[in-house]
Amino acid sequence: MSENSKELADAGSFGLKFDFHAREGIPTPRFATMIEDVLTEVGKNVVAKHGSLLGHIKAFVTTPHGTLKVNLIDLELGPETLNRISSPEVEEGEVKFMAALVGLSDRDVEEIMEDGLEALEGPLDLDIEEHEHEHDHQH
Amino acid sequence: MMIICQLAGFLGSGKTTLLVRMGTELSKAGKKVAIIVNEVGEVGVDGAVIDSFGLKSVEIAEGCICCSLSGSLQNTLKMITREYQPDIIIIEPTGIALASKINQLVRTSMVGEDHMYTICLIDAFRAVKLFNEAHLFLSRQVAGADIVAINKIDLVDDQLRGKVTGIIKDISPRSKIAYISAKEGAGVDELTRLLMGGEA
Repeated sequence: MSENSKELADAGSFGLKFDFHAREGIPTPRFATMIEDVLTEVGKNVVAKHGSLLGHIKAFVTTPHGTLKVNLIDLELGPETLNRISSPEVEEGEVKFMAALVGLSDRDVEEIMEDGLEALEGPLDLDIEEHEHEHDHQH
Repeated sequence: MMIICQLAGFLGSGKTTLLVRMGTELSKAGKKVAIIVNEVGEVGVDGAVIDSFGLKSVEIAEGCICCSLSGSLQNTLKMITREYQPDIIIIEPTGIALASKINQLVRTSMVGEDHMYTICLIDAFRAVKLFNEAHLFLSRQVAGADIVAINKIDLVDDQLRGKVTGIIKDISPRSKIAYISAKEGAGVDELTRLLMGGEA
């Protein structure tokens, strides 16, 4: 079992979890579009860095009124969304956000994902859960 | 009778979508379904998705069960078998796992399964591009699968479907090939019947 599949695939990954509170209620379709836009931005930055998107970027949002799942694996297809939030507006919830991508390091993936989240920081207060990393880096 | 089914496949091939459909169908049919889901990143998304559909999963995160977390897989298999006594255990590895290594780990776990099957999903829409860019790795993922499920057939025409079939037959000529759309449900009933009927 000496082979490491992540190294064999030349893949990097990163995941983070955060709670959010909207400064004011956001219409649910608009909220779904915001999350889709984050994933699309990450996808575009992956292509800019590596030349192609080979992997999976995904987010899962849990709110008191249901869940939202968004996947991106191909920019041509665009994000695939399953919106099961029953309320007309979203005010708070939890987001799990992760990506595994071929041709990028863990550090690259982390940086690209964190850049992608910046778009949410206007309308939302984000409380990102700190996670210990195996790799060294400076914030 | 206990069956262990591995749902393998590259990142974004539709493993979680298929797992939710199969798990829901099997549960409705009265089967005790246990799910082990693995993600390479620090935060698991798939376990939360699966649980949101009313299924229960055990999530193993922060590494790959085919290599760095192989011990966790074996311990989890033993725990689930002992405490839950399922009819079927479905394992969803990461999209960068090697199915043959997981098969070997399951066999040496000695949990007493009657059958072990590997279904490897291929994303029909991206297959040509993926094989062009990562042929060696994807070939290792596909080789030896009992069934190769060519997924997302709702997104491709007959010509591309034929081309993808040719690629798979070259790599793993003995594998059965199924054509499915995990998202739309096409072909999933048949795949589940193959599995539970011991025909895989």
